[in-house]
Amino acid sequence: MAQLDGVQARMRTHFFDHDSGLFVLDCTAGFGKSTTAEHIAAESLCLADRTGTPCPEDQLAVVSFARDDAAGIGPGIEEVLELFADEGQSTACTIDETTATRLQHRLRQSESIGTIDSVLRSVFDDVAGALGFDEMPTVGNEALLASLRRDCLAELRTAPQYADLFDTLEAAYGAGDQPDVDDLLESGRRAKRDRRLTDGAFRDRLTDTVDDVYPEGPPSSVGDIRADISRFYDDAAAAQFDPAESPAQTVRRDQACHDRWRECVDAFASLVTAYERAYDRTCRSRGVLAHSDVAYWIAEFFDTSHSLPETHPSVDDRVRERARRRHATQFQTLVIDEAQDVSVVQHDALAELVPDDARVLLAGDTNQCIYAWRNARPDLFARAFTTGQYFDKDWAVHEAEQATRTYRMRPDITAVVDTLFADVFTDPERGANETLTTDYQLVTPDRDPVAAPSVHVAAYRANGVPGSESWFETGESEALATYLHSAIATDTFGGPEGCDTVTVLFSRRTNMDTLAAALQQRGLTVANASQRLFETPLVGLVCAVVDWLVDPFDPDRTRTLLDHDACAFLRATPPEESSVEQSARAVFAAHDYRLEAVADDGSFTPPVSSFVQGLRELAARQARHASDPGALVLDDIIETLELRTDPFDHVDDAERCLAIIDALVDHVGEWEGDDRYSISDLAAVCTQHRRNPADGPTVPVTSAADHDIVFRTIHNMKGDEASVVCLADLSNPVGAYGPHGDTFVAHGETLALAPPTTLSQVQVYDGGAGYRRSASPLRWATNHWVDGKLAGAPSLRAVGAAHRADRWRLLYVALTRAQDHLILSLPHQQADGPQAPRNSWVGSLQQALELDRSPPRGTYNCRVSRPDGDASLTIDINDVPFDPPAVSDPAPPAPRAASQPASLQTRRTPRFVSGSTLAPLQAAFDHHWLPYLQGRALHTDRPEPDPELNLPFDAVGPDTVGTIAHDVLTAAISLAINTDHLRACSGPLEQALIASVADHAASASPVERAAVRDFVGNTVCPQFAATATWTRLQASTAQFIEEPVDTVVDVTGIKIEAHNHVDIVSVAQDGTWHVDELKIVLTEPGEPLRCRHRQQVGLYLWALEQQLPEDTSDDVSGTVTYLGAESRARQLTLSEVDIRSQLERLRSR
Amino acid sequence: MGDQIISQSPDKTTHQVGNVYVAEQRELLRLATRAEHATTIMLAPTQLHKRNLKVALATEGRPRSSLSLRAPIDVAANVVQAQTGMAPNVLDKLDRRRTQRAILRENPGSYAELQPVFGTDLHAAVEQIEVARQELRLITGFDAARIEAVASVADDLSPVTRDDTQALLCGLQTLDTELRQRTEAVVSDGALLDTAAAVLRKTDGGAWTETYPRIEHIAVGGISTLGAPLLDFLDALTTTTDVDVALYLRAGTGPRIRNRLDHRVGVSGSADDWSPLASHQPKKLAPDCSVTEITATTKHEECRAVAALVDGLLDSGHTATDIALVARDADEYERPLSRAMSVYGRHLSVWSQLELKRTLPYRLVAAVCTVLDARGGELLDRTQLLRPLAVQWTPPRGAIETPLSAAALSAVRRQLATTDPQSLDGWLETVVADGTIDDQPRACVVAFLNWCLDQPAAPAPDDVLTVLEPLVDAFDRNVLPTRVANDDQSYSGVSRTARAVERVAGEVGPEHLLRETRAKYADWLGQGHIDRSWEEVRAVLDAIATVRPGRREHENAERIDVLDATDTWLRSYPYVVALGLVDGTWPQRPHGAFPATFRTAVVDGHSQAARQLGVRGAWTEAREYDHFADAVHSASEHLVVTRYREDVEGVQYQRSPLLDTVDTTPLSADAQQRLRSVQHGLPAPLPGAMTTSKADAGDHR
Repeated sequence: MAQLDGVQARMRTHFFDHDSGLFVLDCTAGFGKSTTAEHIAAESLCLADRTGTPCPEDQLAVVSFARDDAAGIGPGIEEVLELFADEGQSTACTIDETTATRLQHRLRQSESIGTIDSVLRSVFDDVAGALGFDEMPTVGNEALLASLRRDCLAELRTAPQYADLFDTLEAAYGAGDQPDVDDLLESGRRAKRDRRLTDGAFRDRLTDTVDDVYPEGPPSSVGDIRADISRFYDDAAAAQFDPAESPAQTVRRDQACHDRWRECVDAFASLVTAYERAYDRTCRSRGVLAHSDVAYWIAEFFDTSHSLPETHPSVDDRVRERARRRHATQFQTLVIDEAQDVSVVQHDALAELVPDDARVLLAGDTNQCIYAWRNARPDLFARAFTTGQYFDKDWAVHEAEQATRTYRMRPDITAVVDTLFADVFTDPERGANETLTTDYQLVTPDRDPVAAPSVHVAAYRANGVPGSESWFETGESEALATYLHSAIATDTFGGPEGCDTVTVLFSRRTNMDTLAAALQQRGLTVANASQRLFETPLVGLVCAVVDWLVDPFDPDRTRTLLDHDACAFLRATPPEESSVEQSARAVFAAHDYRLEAVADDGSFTPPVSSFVQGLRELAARQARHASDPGALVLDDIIETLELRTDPFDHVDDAERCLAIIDALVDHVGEWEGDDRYSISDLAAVCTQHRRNPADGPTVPVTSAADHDIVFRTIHNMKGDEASVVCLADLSNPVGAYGPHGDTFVAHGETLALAPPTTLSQVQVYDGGAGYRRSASPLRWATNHWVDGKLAGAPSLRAVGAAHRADRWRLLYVALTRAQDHLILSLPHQQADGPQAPRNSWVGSLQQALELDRSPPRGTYNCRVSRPDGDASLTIDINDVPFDPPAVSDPAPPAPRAASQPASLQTRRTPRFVSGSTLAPLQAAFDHHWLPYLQGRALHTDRPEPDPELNLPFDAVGPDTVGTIAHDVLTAAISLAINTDHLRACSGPLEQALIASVADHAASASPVERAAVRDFVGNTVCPQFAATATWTRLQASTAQFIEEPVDTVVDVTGIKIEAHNHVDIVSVAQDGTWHVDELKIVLTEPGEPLRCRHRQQVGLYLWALEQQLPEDTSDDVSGTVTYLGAESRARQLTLSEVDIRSQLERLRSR
Repeated sequence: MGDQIISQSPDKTTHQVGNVYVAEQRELLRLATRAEHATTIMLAPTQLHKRNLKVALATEGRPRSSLSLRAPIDVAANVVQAQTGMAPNVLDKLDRRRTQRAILRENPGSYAELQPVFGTDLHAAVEQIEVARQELRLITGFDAARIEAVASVADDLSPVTRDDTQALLCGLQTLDTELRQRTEAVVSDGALLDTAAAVLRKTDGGAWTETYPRIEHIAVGGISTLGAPLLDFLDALTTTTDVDVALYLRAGTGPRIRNRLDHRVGVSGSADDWSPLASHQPKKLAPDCSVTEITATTKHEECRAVAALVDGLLDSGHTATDIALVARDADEYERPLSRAMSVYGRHLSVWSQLELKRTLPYRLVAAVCTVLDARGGELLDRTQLLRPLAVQWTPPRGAIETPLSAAALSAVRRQLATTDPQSLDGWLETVVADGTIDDQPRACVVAFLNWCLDQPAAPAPDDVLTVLEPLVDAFDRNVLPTRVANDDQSYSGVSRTARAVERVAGEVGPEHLLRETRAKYADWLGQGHIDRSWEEVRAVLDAIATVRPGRREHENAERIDVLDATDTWLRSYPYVVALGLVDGTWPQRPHGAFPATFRTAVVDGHSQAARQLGVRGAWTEAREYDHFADAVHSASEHLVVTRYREDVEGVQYQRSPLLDTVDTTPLSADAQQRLRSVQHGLPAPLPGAMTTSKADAGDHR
């Protein structure tokens, strides 16, 4: 853990020199802003602690954006605390070890350290009730939200008052395609919410754009149209405007465009408003919210400048103010990392909670703002830096520092960054929008230069249209794969511990698979850290099976499964050497796709047969699936079809297959939460994510270091760094995916719905001829340059420019991830047109690196600007051998989890035995196993009671009679009854009999109760009085009634618990121990029953023996005394051999 | 409490704290002996603690008839009954919530001070309010002096914490008072202990002597929280009778409980005779064996490593009962561990509570209630109608003894696809007339509809049993045996369903859904809370089924035990693997209903007032340390502690600070990789590692 220096230390001094204020740190990539933030946070904690507060962590909030960044904050602060306690270090703050330990412990209790979403969530938890939620809702569950959105829109569509509005939008944008309009409404709702716009303001913003595009209103003449062309393009374009239709028709069409557009805006605004109401209502009823909703509701709840929406319950001022006070403490010291990414709604939520006397540290870098599409607002950060305004406050104390030092990049890499971005970030045609200052601050490297080049170009021969798949496939992919292969094989980027993993960054995922295939062909291992989980074929297969399981006996569903992309193996023709003649699909087709009709009589190849058998098993588990949660059904599918073994090669390697499956079951489990998805629900969730995989998770790479190469998107890499970074697939034109291609645009303050896409619009042609002649619309955003500006109405032009600026910042982020080596994949040829510097990363890089002067291979120097004057930068270009040696990393051992599961190893041995279960289990284990699992009595066949006993058995059965008799007999012993009373069942014993009958035979008729009393009192008691058992018990020195005699027995290694309640344990005068079991028999017992009783008493004897001192083992004996239908006693002695043998027979069925 | 709180057998001079005796846990087993009558009552908080004590005694071969194992509230109920002559009626959770909702709905003005804490709609916040009320009872027992102490502690804190605490104090007292006024029943278990304490004082111990004439000692064990109601009950007992009380405390929470015992009962308590606990860093543990630490990338990888470890141990000759897997929450590990173990063909016995609502027997009775609710003529769609058949309805009587097959049901469903929702009579007419449905499935559906139409439309309480119990019996008779036949040999599915059958309609044990539902339905009908309908029956079923019954081990000893850490109390296994030692997971972050600053002030106990108050277990990490210490000490030959570094989204997780309390030997990455590979073998630090495993011997299964 480094100490602070330079600007870091200065910012710390500013911070602690004031009791309150706004402190803004704008710093370059690799500056260590997180380190600075952690030091300041740790010192703040120490200061709060010194005031004696029991919870110093409650006065500090530290937030960042990404979960992985946020997860590092706490440990980072803990490390600083350790540094403060290290006597060998000279730090600004000093504490003792005990304090450090205590503060580290306190820090872990904090709810104010984490992502900005998680911290706001903890605030929301406090006010959820006041906002009309029954309890804290589930936040950020994309599956629930997707279904909620779908249901709300479906509800709106069924409401007659909105029918015309939907018709209007579908006619204009959907062409009958419902999801397009639904997507538009969701985008509109989100844009409205993210900006906290009222219904009117939302409509006004949309209308403002129409007005901006029609500044003089709808045209009255072609001249009006020409005037607008002149405004939005230039005079030349206006002069060249030559409508294909008649002037009147042209004007009418443009007027109609204006009028229809306004109608659409009205319909859109009305529907978004209605949708938002339905959305909020449903969020409350279902208890689910998006993260942005949480921020929105906090901002609305605490903002007293306007009332809450009418659908919202009124808020008691006392409730609001108490909550505000409660959280004001929490934000007394607030540190925001990556502050350039704060959105309006997040800013507004925090603004309501941060007290006026707070200390706020914003650490960020506008050059790294790449989340404008997610409504990040770097202008808020920029304004805070320059004016001291933030959180709706004009801070009296305002300290701003700009840091240019980087502790990450080698000097050569910073030189490339400076050379490129000194131009780009000051160029209005490129990235000058939303930068903090008009000047570009050169980066100051802290690391030492090295002799070998740090910057490398993998040059390729361009072919086709830049940004197209063919460009990448036919030109870039092979060359880059060869370059990387050579570089890795020859250890070109080797560090002290050998070659590092190369991180290849892409701005989009389109060409990742192509490059991966080319690299793998060369023996390199590739991990794609940005692959979307629901785009993987394996997940496709699982989702197809889930969908099929909704009704697996429906032939239509079975056919759909067989035709699914992920089920190509079911359609494949069997290999020639196979005895199977048809594909699985053909077999099913021959049986009309009826699963139950298809027999597996050698119709399938072995792996397909196994799969089909798995499907059959799954189909037969419909009932179980109806009660299991969705995540468990997924598990069942994966296990039954043995998908962990990837039987049909859907995944490149075994580890990745496991990672995909792990991620799938975890995410579905998380989405499901405590609810229970039906199969239909599960299928809907899967379909939703298959349709929009970008909304879902990516496949994790848990062992990146084990791979030669890791692919990541630049967005995914933000906040991270790597020793060797390669930028690939750079040729896509910067404006390619700009607002001109969108139907709804939301950027900054601008909101715009495109003119109806089903109407033809006025087109403006450029000055080209033939195939070079291109048209762009007059009334919408363009990607067309006119005099150094994008053409179009001012508001839309600004949006286009902002989009391009965002793309340039993305390149900045990409370049600044590299620590030691930066590899750029660039074409040899100097680009122009779409590859001109203002339109292209490639063009700008070529220009900055003077690539036109480079040799085909080798090294060359170019001049770069440095603070201390121009310098020379050495660049490698294709400086690797063309015939690289093979890469032969030892393959890691295959994981067991990805191979065939073992056959059943778990056997069956009863965990518990007792005197009453030992014999039945031994005699008929399988028969008794289920009732044993249920904890039921293990009944064996019993003869009918002797009719001569005259027991009616109407309401009570033999067991109850036995219980009553038992109560009375044991009472005779415990109450020390004399033999006469026992024989006559008189005195206290009679009372015991009456009480027991009342307890156990309350439902019996008086006649039946009398019969039981008579049997026990006049038959059983006299019999017992006459037994030797009774005589012996009377002579014993101690009797223990219903004695628990438990033991744990080791049966060939397995511990079995024996739990027994022995009727009577007694100690004779000579010190010997005796076990008595009293059996009330209602007919003469047969030998099997007598044998069972012997085993029972044998177990008792043995268990008792375990409890006695070793030298008494020979002094234990037992007796079974039968009373009732017969009166007889049988003596038993302990046979340990017998008992062990009986127990061992229970082991491992 | 005075000097009568003493342990029965430990050396009092060694364990004396002020005037109170606190016993060492290791002495606990010595209490048990053989006796003609029990002389000691062992109070344990949960059923499993009692069970663990029994197992520990059985393992040592100790007789235990001198011990009577009881829950504190059972003992309290008996004491109260001795005076009143009848068993006290204690409000259950459902009735308590219902009454509180009524109070808050009818009298919102009386609780205005709670609104700034819980929000304007107090009725919606009743669950949180009840948690806070129980917390206040636990720390104060609603004793006036302790209530004053709460206010006093709050006065020294920040204004907003003071205001929140005062609001809770005021509002919750009023609520508790009104709750007691509204019902003749005792409002909660805590209140029952209070009542029992009052009875003891009022009868000068007579109620105790009458109830437990032979009991000479009370032992309290396995607790992480000593709430005010239990403490007051024990205090009343020791001041009115000759009974001794010994507290067997745990490693983490024990020191704090001991440290302030006399302050809480008001025997002493000047600032001079109290010193704060030494450190937030818990004491080092001294396991009886060596400890290996495994750090895996993800939770799944952690489970795979553990599964490989278990398989290796079993392969090297150890048995399933030699091994225990322990997590803070076993539930959280059930699925990933089961997945990982199944690769090796091995199965687990997870000591988890049964999720009744996710079982077939429950879904059967719930689905049937929904259909029977249409007896009044309401319309049902085909999905609702056929759902009972989908969850394997069979008639209680008659010729049909097998449920409709999935294929046949699917065909029926498709054949009725175009039929609009209908009444039960309408469906009967439709199905009978539909010639496209095969005879056998039609007979089954018709039998089902006829059965439904034979049932009462407005069920009386007894109908809950007479209608639904035979259905579960039929399931038990007709379906469960076929599931035995179709399940794999591990009987994983069957054992769960069998447990559910018992829980829904069994005859053994106290908790049975249908019987409980009948009683509650009758009670609520009698009080006019609900009307007679199957929908209401279903609502009651639903409410009761949410309360999960206690944990239970699988009856098959060949399965590997997976325990919650708290359940390792007094347990012993040669090999223990403690999973999930990740900061934030184990230990979890302390939580409570009172403001964090207030809780911390009470926990720290720097003021005299704070030391008068009890500490809820969830307020500190000490309870987590209790559990960890128990898990550590349950290992006799080798302990393996495991954790993961990141989740599937790549977010990093930190090592649990609990691991700082044991000295561990990390397992190298290479050893881990080998462990989880197809050629796996036990890594060297583990006993048995040198034994040639089947895999190493070339015996690939």
